[in-house]
Amino acid sequence: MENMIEVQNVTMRFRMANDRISSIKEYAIAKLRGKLQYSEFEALKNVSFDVKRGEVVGLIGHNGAGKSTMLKVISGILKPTEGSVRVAGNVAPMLELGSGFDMDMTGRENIFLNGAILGYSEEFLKRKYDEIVAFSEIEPFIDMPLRNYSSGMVARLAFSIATVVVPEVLIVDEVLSVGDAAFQEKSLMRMMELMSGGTTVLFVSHSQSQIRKMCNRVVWLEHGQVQAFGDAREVCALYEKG
Amino acid sequence: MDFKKSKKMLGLLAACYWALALLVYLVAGVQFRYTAVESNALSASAVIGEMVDGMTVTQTLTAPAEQTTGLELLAGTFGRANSGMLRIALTNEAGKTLLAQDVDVAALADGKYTSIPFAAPLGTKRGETLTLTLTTTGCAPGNAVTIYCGNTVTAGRFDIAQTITDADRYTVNGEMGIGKLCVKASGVRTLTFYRDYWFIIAGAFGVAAIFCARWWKQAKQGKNNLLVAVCTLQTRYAFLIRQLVSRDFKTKYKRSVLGMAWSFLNPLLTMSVQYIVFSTLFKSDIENYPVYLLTGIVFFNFFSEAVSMGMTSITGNASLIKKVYMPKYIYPVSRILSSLVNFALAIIPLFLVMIVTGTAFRPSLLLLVFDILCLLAFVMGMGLLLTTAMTFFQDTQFLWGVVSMIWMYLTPIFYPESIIPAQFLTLYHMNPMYQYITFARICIIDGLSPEPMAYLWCILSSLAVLTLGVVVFKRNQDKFVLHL
Repeated sequence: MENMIEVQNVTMRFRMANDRISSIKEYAIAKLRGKLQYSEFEALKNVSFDVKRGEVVGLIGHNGAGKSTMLKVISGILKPTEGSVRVAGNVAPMLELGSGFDMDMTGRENIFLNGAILGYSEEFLKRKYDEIVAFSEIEPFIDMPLRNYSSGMVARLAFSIATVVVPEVLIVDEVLSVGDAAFQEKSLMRMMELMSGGTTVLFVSHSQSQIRKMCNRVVWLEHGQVQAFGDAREVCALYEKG
Repeated sequence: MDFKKSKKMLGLLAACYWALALLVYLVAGVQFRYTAVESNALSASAVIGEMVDGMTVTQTLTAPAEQTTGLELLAGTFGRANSGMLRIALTNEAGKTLLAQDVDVAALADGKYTSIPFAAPLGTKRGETLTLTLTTTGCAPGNAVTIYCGNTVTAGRFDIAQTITDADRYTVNGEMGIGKLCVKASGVRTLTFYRDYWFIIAGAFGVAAIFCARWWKQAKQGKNNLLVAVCTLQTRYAFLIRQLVSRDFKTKYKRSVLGMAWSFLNPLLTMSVQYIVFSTLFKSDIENYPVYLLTGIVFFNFFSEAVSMGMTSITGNASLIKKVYMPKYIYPVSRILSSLVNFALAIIPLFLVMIVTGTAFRPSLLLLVFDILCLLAFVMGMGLLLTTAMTFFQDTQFLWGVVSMIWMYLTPIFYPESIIPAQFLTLYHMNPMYQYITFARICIIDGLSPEPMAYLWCILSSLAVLTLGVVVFKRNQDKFVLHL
């Protein structure tokens, strides 16, 4: 089967100065005192895996294992220090909802702004506009500036915009719990619908039950390295033991 | 990349290029054939006394061009009507008399330069020394004019004494005077540019076409290059950029009562204040000072605003860059385009002031398109350069605050160029902002096209800075996210 995501020997190295130097003065002083030391931090070490068409792959690991970094590398936000990432088809990374929302603009304007940032085309947004508004349940407030919204309303709007698209590849970083209980259920349904619709999915979750239920295969990352990669149940069992 | 749409866009770009070339040719063509030049004169500080019959005044002049077409003379009438004839004679270095022309004394204005065109242009060598001899007939004391002379140049509020060699001084009946007569020679310099214009235009197009063809081939093989970036910018990210620009614009004045009107009001108010302050401070030797001032303000404001907006585009959008992937150049480009919208609005009061001051709207205004395109490319280059610097060193913004202030004083926005000492002029003219603003003023106030050299300077400075900006930005863009 065709590989939708191909991650080959990816190493992501951050160079961290002891104190982050952001001014020429600090740089010069640090250099003069010979204190310009960098410690290298490898967030990902030689990671390789692939995701095939229509597959749902989970990414598990403890905090700081490199899961989010991996998703950022795949989304193109970070460029790997070594190795390569190839993604076929259009990607919808849902790393953080509502990126680029402007609090001074109305809900309507923000739908178009955020949609454009997520890479939707103008005519697609116009076609789906009603659907977005209906799903987010904020119809009466749509022409009000976002700063007057409650945080739940903002989150609902963000979720609705992000999930209106049916992408070929979906990358999800724990975005499933938004709003009140009713909306949470509704959003979970929508996610399930998206994931089960033949879309290729790569997602991060701390919920073992969710992973077991939805994933075909699982990548277990620990300290930036692949600990195990394979059948969901097997890897999950290993993870729970270790 | 979308090849079909890109092809359409490239076709459109090529059409725009030829349209602009044709526009420049039609509007400025005559001025590419020859250009009017005028020699300088010192500022008037004294008079030589009444020019009566039997008095011979001589003054050496430098021929300004291959053809000398006339003189300008600063005469004084003592506030009365005088009669008689003034004979103007010009001899060249070889002693040959080139001109002997009579001017009615009554035609000379008092305290103002009077232009005296020659019956036929004189063939001279550029830089050749000509000797001007003035004599009168029918003028007696009480019925005679005088000629102003001087030995200083004006620099702002001050007059600076000049050293004048004996050969340059005027003489009255063979006796040396205190300085030079206030006389300017005007001429016409023929240019070869007119002939070469279409060759240059076609040549530049050919070079661009060759590059595009190569990049197109590479793009077909899936390689990334500048052409791909430009095409996807237009075909894929146009909607995003439109959204970002409209966001910037909407939120800028969102909570202010006057809203968009500030875009007009700001330059108008700045102009009013500076007009009041500086029109009393400088000798008013600037023609049409309100328009002169406002042109400078509007153009320079665009420059400083767009560059500082572009500079903070990466650091200011840090939260977005860390979470969403889009090409990095979108950020500075969209910020600078929103400044461009602001600039377009600020041009409206400029037109208003032109109407109020009675400045004619001439075809040369169309040449502003060229000027603004160059300025935009320059600003884009500066923005890309500074936003890269800013990401690594936050000091850049404070440094830029100082630099842009110095830059403002180095550009003739509210003062006349004539206050700059002559020895610094070459350096002074290298300032690209000087080029763009002077270009605009010639188009707006004089209603003429600048000389071909001005076009060349504008293109070269903008392309050089743009290329530098693009290269530096491209080399570093992958590192940005690590430093935010």
